[in-house]
Amino acid sequence: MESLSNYNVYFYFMIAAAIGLFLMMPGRGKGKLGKIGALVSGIVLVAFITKIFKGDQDGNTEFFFSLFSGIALFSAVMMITQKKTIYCALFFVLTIIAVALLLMLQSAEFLCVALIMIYGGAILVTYIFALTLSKQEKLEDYDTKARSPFLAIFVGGTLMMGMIHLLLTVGAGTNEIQAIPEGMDLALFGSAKELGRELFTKHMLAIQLSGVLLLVAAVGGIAIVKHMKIKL
Amino acid sequence: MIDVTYYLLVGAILVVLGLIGFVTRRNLILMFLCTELIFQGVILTLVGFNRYWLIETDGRHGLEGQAFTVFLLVVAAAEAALAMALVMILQRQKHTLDSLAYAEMKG
Repeated sequence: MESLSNYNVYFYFMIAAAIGLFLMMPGRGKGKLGKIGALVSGIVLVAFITKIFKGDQDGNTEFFFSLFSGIALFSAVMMITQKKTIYCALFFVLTIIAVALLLMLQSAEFLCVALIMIYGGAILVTYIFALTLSKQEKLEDYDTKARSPFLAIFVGGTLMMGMIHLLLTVGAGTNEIQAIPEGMDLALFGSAKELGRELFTKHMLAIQLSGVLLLVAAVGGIAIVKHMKIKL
Repeated sequence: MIDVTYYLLVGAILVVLGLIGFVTRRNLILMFLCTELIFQGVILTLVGFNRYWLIETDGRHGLEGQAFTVFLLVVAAAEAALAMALVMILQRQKHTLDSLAYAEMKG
């Protein structure tokens, strides 16, 4: 890993990525500008990933981290810039899979599987179901024109700038405060057994309450759609 | 080993992208999909904190971050169910998914 002291380059990455994202937003010109924006964003993404990957000394962890985070960021950008909503949902599935694999790199294996099953299975099916029920025949105006993209990207970029500053100056090196002790078995620490022990000893009340919350949500969903007259 | 800062960085970028998507897109379903993108960034951040910082004194690894992520999944599932039900109701009333069509309460 390269030293984090020269973090100015991340600001340049971010400004270029913001310009690229602005050009990629739906409703900006016809085609050509969008392609230029996609090119700029792609170059920034590749540069960012290689910057992370450059300090590679040992093992495959850096390679897989770069790969999965690259896929996650790419599909997230594609998701918020696609015109067709179904493609947004499919790119979101790709983001979920990449994030789940990033969790696997942090040896959170139960959460990796749970994320793919719950998000990629249950939640995404709910969204796609709603999309198909909404019966959009053609591309509507509200999908092809973004609402005030300049302001949104300006605010998001400012927020990102603050977070980069915080992470790379204040946050860098703080993980040496608690170094992982020798002999601690990290390979098993996110397994279903360990997580289950944690959940059912320390968070017993919270896990019961979350069950009640799911029940209330199910009952509420039925109560909302009960009076709806469906004309198919 | 990857520095935890990089996980936090990727999580932060995902959150900001979700925020931009939530503000700019006008499709109601897509706006909720963007909140799920924000959830992904938060999940990555929580698990990153858990992996690198939560080491308890007796040599066991604390798992509060991952336990929190499980609750986050529960809340996300509940939110998806209720939000989609509400969106379906709204779409039946006005036959559009445009969020600007539901701006009567704007001053």
